[in-house]
Amino acid sequence: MNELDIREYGDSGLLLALPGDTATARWEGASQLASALRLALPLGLVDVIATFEHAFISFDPLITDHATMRQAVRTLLDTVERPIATTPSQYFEIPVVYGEEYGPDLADVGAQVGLSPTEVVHFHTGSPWTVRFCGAPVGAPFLNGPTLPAPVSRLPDPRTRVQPGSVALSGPNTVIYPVVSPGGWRIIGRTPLRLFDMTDENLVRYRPGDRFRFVSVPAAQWHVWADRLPETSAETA
Amino acid sequence: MTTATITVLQAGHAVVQDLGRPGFGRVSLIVNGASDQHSAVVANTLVGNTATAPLLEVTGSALGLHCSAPVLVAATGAVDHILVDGVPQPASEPLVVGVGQQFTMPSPTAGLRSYLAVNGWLASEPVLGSVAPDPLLGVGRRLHAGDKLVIESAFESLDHPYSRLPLFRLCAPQQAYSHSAVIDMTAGPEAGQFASGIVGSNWTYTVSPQSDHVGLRLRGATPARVVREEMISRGVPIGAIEVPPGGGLLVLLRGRLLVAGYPVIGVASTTAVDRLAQLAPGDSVAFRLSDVTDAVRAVRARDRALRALAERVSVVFRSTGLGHIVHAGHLSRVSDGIGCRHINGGDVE
Repeated sequence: MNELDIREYGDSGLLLALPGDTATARWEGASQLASALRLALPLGLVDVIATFEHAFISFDPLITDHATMRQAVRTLLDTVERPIATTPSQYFEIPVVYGEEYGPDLADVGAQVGLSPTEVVHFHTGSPWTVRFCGAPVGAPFLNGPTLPAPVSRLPDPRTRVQPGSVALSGPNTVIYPVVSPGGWRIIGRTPLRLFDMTDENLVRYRPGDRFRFVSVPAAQWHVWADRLPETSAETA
Repeated sequence: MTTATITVLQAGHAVVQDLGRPGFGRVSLIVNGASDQHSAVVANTLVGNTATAPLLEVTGSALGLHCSAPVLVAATGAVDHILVDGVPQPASEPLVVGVGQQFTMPSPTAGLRSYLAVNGWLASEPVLGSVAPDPLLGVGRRLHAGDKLVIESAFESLDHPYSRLPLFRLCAPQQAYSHSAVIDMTAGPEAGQFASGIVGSNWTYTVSPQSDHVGLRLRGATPARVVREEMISRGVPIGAIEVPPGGGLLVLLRGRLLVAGYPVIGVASTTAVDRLAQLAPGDSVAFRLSDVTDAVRAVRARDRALRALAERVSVVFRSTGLGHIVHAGHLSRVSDGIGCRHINGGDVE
């Protein structure tokens, strides 16, 4: 898709599908547009949610309307096409206990993509993943990067209670569940870290564009990281 | 300022509520807040509060209270009358409840959610700027029988020349609910993926008991999707009418997750979302295609009526010696101040 697609999304929203030849280009378009909107704050803007390839803009229909917001987006996109100052990406090492009760779907994932459980762990920890957005229900990092031999399917019957810290796969993506919630992604491990801090207005320490390196740790070391927030570090080879 | 203690005699399904946590899309924080925003704002307006003041939301049940000091209250939403010491009094009007009087909001006969605002400030602990319950984050206050609520209020008493129970006639916008509703919707971004284009206006749906503040599950015809491709997860608005693979429709309310991956065939208008929040299990619902121009016109007309009501409240309260209990922010729009409160965090260093 090579043209910006803007659609009405109810009486107070617009859904934008960003153009680009690759998924990464479309994601960059969406997240840069979201940042630009948050800085420009066109009158009546209520919120922007940037995801893999879309930006959802909600606005106050008492103050503005669809035509005005469309125009604001088009004007901003002219700016975005020029390189804008981007915040440097941060790097986080995320300890994960893989398999067993921590990652009940590890063997299933291996069987789906033709790898042993150990090979899945090597794949998952072997190179950094990029945070694409912070999703539902609160601050859940949606990441992609390394590519498995095949996409991972979702569970036919989603679990009703996924434990916080669960690290799960779907398609080419990884997510970490921040709180107990329902979920249909396949769980391969669990991090002892706490992802968000309710007393911090930013809620989470990572942002879209940051990189996560998953590190396999033994269950016996769970207590070392239990309930700690993710810490940035210098990138290791 | 006086401090009144309200004792909960009968709690039902009641929570301390406000308008929620908009503007945290960068971390996909659930908005939550009063499911029927308009009824909540009308209740606060009627007692001279700012629109965002904490109030009580009661879902499908009765609420009984008594107070340690006189309080000025207003009940809105599904409740069509209230009882003070067993005597029926009008809903959607300000009312003084005296010391020791028993105040009851009966369980609604139609509609689902009622709101009770009390002049002043209901002591509560906001999290990220709001007291709204968020079950996934484990925040919020649910009431239980025996609980005590503390109100800081400038209201002391009202000496009405003609009656001991001062009655106001402010004519707040009020909706009589029945067990069926017609919901205005605009076409969703994936409307073109369905053979019917939209939800047919002659299709009737039934609200399933699995519905809650996250969304309404509607049993009925499933629009036939002509496209097979998987959807990529993206942001979804409150009021989104989704077509899940399991059949029927799923209509999102304020507890919805901000990012989802089902096709959206339509989006209920802002005014219709408040009506959706008043649908109880077993109620029937149909949809009517509107366009965004009409939907925006409707929400603006409703806002004008609300501001006119706020003016009447100010005038009437001043003329009865209650000018001092009207909050300085009483006339501000619901939307004033919500827009950019949290939106910048993380991007602006």
